[in-house]
Amino acid sequence: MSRAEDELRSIARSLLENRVVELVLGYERYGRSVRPCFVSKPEEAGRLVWSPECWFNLAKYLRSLRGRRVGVVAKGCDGRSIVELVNENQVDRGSIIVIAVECTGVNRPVKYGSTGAASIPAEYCGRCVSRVSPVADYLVKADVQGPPEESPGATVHASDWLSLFAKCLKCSACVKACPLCYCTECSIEGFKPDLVHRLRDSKELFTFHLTRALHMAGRCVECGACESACPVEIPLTRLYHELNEWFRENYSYVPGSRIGEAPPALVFKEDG
Amino acid sequence: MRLGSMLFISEDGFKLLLEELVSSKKVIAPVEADGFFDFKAIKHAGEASLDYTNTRLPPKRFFIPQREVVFKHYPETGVRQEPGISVETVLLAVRPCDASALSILDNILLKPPHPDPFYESRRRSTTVLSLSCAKPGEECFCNVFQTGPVRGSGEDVTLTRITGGFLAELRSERGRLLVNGFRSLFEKAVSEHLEEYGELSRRLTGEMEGRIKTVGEQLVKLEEKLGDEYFQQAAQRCLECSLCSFVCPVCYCFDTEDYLEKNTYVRAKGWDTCASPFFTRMASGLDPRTSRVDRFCHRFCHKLSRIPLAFNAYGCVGCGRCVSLCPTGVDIREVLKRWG
Repeated sequence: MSRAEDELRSIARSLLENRVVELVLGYERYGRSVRPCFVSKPEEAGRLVWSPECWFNLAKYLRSLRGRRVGVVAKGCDGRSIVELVNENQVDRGSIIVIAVECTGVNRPVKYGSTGAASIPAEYCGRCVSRVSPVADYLVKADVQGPPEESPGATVHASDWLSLFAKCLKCSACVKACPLCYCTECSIEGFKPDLVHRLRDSKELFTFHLTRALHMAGRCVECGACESACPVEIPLTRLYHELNEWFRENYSYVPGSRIGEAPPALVFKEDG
Repeated sequence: MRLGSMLFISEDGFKLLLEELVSSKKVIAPVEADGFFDFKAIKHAGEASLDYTNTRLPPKRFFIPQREVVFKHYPETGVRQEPGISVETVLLAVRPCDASALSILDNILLKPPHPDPFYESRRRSTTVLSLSCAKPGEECFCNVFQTGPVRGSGEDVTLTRITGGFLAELRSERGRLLVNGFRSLFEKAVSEHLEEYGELSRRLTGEMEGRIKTVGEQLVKLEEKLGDEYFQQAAQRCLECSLCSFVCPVCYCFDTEDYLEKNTYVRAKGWDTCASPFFTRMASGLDPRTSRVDRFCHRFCHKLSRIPLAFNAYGCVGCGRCVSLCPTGVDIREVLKRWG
């Protein structure tokens, strides 16, 4: 067990013992990977792990736990999505205890049927703006120092997106894994308005993905959960990154940086 | 050559067979593309890659496409489109678990009095040549349902790689016919071949039994266990996406959509998932399965208890796709270990 993991467990244990929180959201080991876990008893804090396989963004669960006092393990990007959720009035900062963990980048999950077996660093971590959450009640320092390798390039030509989207199964794992996709009636699930059919239609995949991209523009914290969840490995974060760049250039806005700063696309100002 | 015959085909003979098949039929085989293996219709024998653990997605979509038009109704002529005739197809090098999934689907979708005509026409025109596993994947548990790793059900010919070539077992009349057409490429298997096959089979099964044991009859009573704390805990993680159903070789539930395309009335059907909150919502607004934990339990119950009760086979073949690909690590093996 690493020092960071040890520290994480003792923070979670004390939060639960002292009833500061009812529940701690963290990661536990299963098989060859890790998965989210919900710890509600102090004696179960030992289940918590910290490793480069912790790509899932636990902020996803916060909205459904509104009204409860929750501790959450957060990487830099997870913290930014908490800020975004607070700024969009979806969660209450006061009821969340953020256990920030200094992140050194996550690995791409090794999936069924892959041609390569080794886990490699996720490309999107190379574009990370901050490895530490902007909001933190506790900070766990990384065991290993040094930032993830940079990988800023890797843009996809517009016409290549068509062939990438053609692989899409419309399983909605990207939508459901995204902490900022919280609409109760999703326009790309095919109900009110029925922008696309509910059942996958190959002709509509472009509409599906571009609608989602526009909803993410200037809000996406680039945590890469959508991309890592995708069963056919569509590099969605590259698309959202390009749109984010536009907001950064025009509004100097980096999603999830500060509490109280609403995303430009959600603000209406008459004087422009 | 009778059913059940064990034949040997050399490496070179197999290459020839593949070339012949590609030139005369539609051949669907595992292909390496964009970092993972998947089934594709191939034009050249060289496109097929046979050194793979399993494909990312199952071959289900070649029998049940994700979306298909059931019929169209034109206002002037009233013509309705019937399912087209499928072309002669060979599904090559499918793993025994995925082939077994087809036999489960046959039980369900070809059952009289209402067989699915779309599935039927595709299934009847396809010959399934399976390829035994050489090394089970990390998340595989086919031994639980006896759907692999060497031999499953639903195959027309079971191919097993042995020294110098492949051992071919004729499993159905359709498979016998196909092999008969290329008789000169096959020879009778000798005891050395059969010994190697037996050794491989024992080694792989032993390896998998070490991870998880074969299940018993008690799974049919899974419904009684649904109040267990385990399901409450595990369901919390579920995101209610469709991933597990869409990558499952057995999941066959569908929904239909009616809509207008210009002035033609179209009815389409397509994959749906019981994980979705919309799956059981009726037009009246009534929904018999409203909570996440209910939906979560349903998936396991359907596969491990209701399908076996109705169709005499489990609705899971242990391919491990849902286990590996689920973004939040929902793991059917935990249910099998607890109550199997």
